[in-house]
Amino acid sequence: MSEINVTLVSWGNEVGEVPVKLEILDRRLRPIQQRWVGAKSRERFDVDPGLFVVRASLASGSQFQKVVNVADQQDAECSIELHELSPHESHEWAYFTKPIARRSTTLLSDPVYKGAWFRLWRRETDGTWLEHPLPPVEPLSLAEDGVSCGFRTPDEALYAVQVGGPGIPWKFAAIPSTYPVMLLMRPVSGPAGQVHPLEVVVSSDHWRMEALLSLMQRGDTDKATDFAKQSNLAEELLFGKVQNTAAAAVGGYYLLRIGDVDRMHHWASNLANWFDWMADGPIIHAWQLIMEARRSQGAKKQNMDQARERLLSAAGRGFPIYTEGLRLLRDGLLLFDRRSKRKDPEIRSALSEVGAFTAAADWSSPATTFTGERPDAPTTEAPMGEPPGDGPRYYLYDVPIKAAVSEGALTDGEVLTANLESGPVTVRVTGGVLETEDGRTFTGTSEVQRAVGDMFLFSRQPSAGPQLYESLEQLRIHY
Amino acid sequence: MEMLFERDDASGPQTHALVIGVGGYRHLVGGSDPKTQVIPQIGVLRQLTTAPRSAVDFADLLIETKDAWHAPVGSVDLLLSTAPNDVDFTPPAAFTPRPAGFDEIQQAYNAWCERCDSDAGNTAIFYYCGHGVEKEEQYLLTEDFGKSPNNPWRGAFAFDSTLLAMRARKAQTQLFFIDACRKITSSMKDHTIVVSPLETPDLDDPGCERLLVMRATAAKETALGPKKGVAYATQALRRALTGDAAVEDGSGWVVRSATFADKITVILGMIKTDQDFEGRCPCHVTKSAELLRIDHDPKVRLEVACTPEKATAHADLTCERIVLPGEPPAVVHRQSGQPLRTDVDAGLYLAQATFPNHEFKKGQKQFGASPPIFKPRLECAP
Repeated sequence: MSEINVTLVSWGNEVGEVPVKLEILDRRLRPIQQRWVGAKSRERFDVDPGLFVVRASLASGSQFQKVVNVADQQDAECSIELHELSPHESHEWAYFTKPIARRSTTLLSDPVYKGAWFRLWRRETDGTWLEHPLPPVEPLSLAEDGVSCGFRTPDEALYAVQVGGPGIPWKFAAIPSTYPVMLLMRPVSGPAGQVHPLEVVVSSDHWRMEALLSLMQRGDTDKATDFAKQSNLAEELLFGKVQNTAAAAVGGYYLLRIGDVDRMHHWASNLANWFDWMADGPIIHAWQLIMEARRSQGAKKQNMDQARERLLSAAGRGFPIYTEGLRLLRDGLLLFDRRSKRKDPEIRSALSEVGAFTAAADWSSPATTFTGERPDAPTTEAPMGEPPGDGPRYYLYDVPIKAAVSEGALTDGEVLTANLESGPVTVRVTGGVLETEDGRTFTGTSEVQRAVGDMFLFSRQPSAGPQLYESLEQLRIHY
Repeated sequence: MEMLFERDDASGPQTHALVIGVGGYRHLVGGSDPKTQVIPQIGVLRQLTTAPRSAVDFADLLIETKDAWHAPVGSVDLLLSTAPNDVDFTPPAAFTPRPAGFDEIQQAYNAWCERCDSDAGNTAIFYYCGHGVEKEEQYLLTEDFGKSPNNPWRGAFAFDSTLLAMRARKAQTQLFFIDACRKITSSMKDHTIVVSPLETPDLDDPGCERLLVMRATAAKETALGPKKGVAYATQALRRALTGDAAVEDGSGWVVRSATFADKITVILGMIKTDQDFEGRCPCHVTKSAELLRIDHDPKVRLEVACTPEKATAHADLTCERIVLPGEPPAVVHRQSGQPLRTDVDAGLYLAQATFPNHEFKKGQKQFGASPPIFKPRLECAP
């Protein structure tokens, strides 16, 4: 007997707990051993001598493999460089766990992302939505190919992030507020009008739950079942609802997806009753009731009445955190609408409201994502431009000069200089633009970066007040 | 009622398919009985040449693979409508398909449900290619759509509600493939659309355990296909079911609903290069099911190139299967000056890059090639 020692190499601080399926395949590519491990693991597999493929599969759908030749009575080392998947170690969590877009040939410094912004919304107890300041951010990574940040919302409520810009259709993504939240906002390319130019990847730091969610979202229920079975994960998530409400929802969605309602017990009902800010609980409970009714004629009438109430209650709670919930809510309402021969006005009204979300939704995203101006007003034709009002917003990469002046980061008439490799450069702030000595004008920091040099290398002349880069950073997502 | 295929020796669980291709729309522009439509943007809907060809291609595929299915194919019913000017189209030999009008589809659906209900082990397959729109749910348009311009929707059926109803039926494995658009026009948004399903959802049965729903396009988007050809999503469907979505499960190559869902968008990208973005071909899978087995090593598309990329222009690339002593020698695939693109059987391979003018150092890599596509990169230092 010999051994294959597999080392998974990843660098991100967050990803040690991210699950990876490791398989040993024989030379006919038949799986002979497999187990789920963490993304920084070192694992030993006992094998007979021969040629093997070591394959590592991530919940994002990415796979790595190496061929290993194992001699008799000898150990073979196999190192799999998972980190190669991500351009930055601070983005690894997203590339490992989320089905993110394959193509990205654009950068946040490109003109389409000029003035692209981000803001946070919170649904109040009376159902209104208000813009909310971004809580302290940690960690943060600002790069041209994506901005990654983490934060924790101050309380458990329905929160959503919104991105937009003069060239970016406004888009919302729900966030699981019961956890530290991780966000990656990255430029993506694809056929115009079919692919939103800014991908928003949302995650909690419960990596096993996130992996289960991604596997379900991708339709890979074989791997989801295999993974969940490993540790009764779905029940563990649902049972732990007091600690982790969003994770409980994912556990519930998984059990519904595979039709295993017996394992849900009364937990879904509690999830619906105890957390009245979240639509996912009543949706899960409604479908548990519907599925139970299908099996037991005795429970039918009572179950169906309660399921109807649950769905209406969910429709009154904004929108579910997860796309799976949006689909189930739409399907449940359709079911009752058809059963009532479209004569139940409450169901009709709820279906119409939810229909606005489903029409504007991005169904490929695990977290509920939709276009629109406000989180309570989804629209298929999304607005673009600067958001109205003076609520808290943050630029992703490019800072418009006009905004920098109106926010006090720059003063009209002031002179900025930089000693760049190409030589000293002087620019003047004038009328909401930057003007070079030779008469070129720029409306945003990215334009300056492309044509002259990194805006953050400039300083004020004469030196006064806070450093220029500090002033500009305050307008972007910052620590 | 004549079906395209009906197994003679039917016993035990079977796969029963209802395949619908609507390319001819009698009452729309270019149809045999065009009517002026009241809702303006309905007037822009045209005849389709891809739909009947796609439906026939899918029906043919089912017959070609009839014995490979986990539940062997027991029946294939095919309804087709073609545009009056689509004279090149030829229906399957010795078969006169029924037209895909609402009444015919309803009748075929009812008969199909009966066949599917005959055994809980059955697999039910529903395939539709034609015009579709989406508002509260996806609506699929039949041949007689637009017959009553004041209420054109009488010639459509509500797909998602039909799906909810069908799920309550006995066949425990159900597959739905919808190759149709999901766009909605502003005038459709403004009008109340009342469309009936082919069956009203009920809750009298426990519901199917294993469901796969594939739509050719994301919400709000258009399904695509070449004129007088097979729609891209249906091409991907064929590739997926004939091996591209197969995995080795330890006892052979098998296409499962989960592997199908996992790979279909990548497969679509192999057919139409810019269409492999996330969510392009959305699938919904409940408990995964074994669909069919592939009795040979499936094909894998290989694209071998060098890292750095510029090295490929100088390289002689080779790729060959790794064989054991005593096995027949492997075919060596070769390419110079550009990436080596070839289709090979799934298995273990060795790819090498050599440089006759020594611009880069030799690179080589062993790898396992699994469907649908593998792109090994050979590191070649300058």
